[in-house]
Amino acid sequence: MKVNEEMSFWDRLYIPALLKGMFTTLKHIPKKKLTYQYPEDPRSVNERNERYRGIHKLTTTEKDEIKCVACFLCATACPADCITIQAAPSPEGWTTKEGYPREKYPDVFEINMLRCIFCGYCVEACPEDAIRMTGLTLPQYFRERQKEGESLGSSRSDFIFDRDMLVANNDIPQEGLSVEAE
Amino acid sequence: MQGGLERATGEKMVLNFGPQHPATHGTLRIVLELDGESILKATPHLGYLHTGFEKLGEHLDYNQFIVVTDRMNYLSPLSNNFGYVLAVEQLLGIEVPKRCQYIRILMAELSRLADHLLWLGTAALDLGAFSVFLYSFREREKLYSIFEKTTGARLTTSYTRVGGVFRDLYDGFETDARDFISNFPKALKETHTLLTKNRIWMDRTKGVGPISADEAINYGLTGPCLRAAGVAHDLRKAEPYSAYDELTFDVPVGSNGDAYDRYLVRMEEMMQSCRLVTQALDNLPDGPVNVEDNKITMPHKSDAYGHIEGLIHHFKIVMDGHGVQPPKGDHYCATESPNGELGFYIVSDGSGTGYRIRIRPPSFLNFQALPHMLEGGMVSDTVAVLGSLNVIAGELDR
Ligand code: SF4
Ligand code: SF4
Repeated sequence: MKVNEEMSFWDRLYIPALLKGMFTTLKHIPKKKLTYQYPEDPRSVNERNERYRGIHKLTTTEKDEIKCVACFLCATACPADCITIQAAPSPEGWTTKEGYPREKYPDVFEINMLRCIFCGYCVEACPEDAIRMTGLTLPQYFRERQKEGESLGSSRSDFIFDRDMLVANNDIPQEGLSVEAE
Repeated sequence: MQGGLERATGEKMVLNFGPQHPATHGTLRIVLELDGESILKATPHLGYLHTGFEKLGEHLDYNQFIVVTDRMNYLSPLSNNFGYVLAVEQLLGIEVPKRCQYIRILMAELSRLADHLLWLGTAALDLGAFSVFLYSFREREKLYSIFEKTTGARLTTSYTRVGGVFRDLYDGFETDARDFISNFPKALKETHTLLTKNRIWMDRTKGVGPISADEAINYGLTGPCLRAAGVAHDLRKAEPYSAYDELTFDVPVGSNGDAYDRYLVRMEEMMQSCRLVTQALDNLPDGPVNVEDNKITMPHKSDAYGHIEGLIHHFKIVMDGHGVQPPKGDHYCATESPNGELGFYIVSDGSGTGYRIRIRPPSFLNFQALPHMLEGGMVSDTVAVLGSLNVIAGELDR
């Protein structure tokens, strides 16, 4: 299939093409604007579905026990090597779904958000549905926190999310990537 | 040209084009030797965006490397994902289910549209056509919201997995895609009105940076740049991979190999991609999306939660040295990415990590033809030629 265009006499005049172009652009002026102010406009956040890969959260059971069993699968799957876990024996009284005593839980669970590439491999790898993602990007998250009067994001250590911060992210209303619904 | 060199003795001017120039779309540098306004010599320099992708391939496992392919050609990450997993699958000797093949083609063609749209916008912007930029980005935005809903991210899609895809299409994908495809020709027609017969556009691109068919082959050009020179070579037709042999489409070719032909070829390719998307949607088969082999793809989550075997398979897929392990050997697999032949050469030593992953990016080879196209031309044509080649700096230095 050949594509070819030659300049005709009419095109050489060049004014008709200019006017046609002008007419095209003029037609667009009364149309609805399609742009939106990306981080501030909440529309972009609300349109996100259960696949969106935002910042992480560590899920908890109804008894507020961290679901994570410190199996290190997420840290192994992570291409950016940004998850640090230290396992410890679970606190007294923590039980599994079936009611047996739990063995391990993460004493330290840190995600270095400066290294994280938000690929979602950790969520995919977790066998306990213990780590999920929210619908907020890192800048949006910081903006939300700053609205609450916290000064965040000015030092590198602010970007290392520890276990408690990740658990607190359960309060973020926008849902992101989670394991596939049954 | 030789005469020009003599005349310029002692009066040559050296101009650095880039590394930071708004029209280079990435950090690349061309050193131009000028005599007045004509270019005597153009020397492209590499190394300003060295990324180490190939080296990363030597220590990330096969599935982890997918996230790296996103970042190679950042205009069409989905095509890169596709090309890479295809190479791994061929090395493994497996074939994914039909539904998966169709989904991948759908996503690859949509990303071809996104790539060409961005190319169109920026190439036109470089030559001063600002409205085209706005209109093509408007269309591209619609595509990106489809990508976001399907893959979870706009740019870093990481959609494919060895042996399948991350997830099946979302409910409503078909409506969104058909909606887009039905409105798209109208939007493209606007661009045709603004550019195709516009004398300013024609004067600035016609006969600019020409390359003949033979030279294009000698330089190893692929993709729209090769086809604009009149060679009807498209890997989707020449060596059909995935389910491309079940779909019909035409391969547009140009005649002069100049910037204008490259523009026309890309414009027509977009229409052909629309055809492919429509056909793929019409024929989208039902069935599973991943190969049913727990040694290659993750078991379904209900298996991993509920059964000990599922859990073991789940752990093995993720753990080092237990996941996807192609047999010893090597394999080269090339796909037609929006810019041309994107090839992955994988050497496996039988472990879970590639021994060597060599990438043959289209932009790298297209870029080497640049001096040939520029020399003897005017300095103002540099932007037009560079724009028409669509060089992605992220692919130049791996
Ligand atoms: S999203 Fe990816 S990079 Fe980030 S912690 Fe999870 S696996 Fe690591
Ligand atoms: S978050 Fe999940 S994968 Fe990571 S250590 Fe905890 S249980 Fe294992």
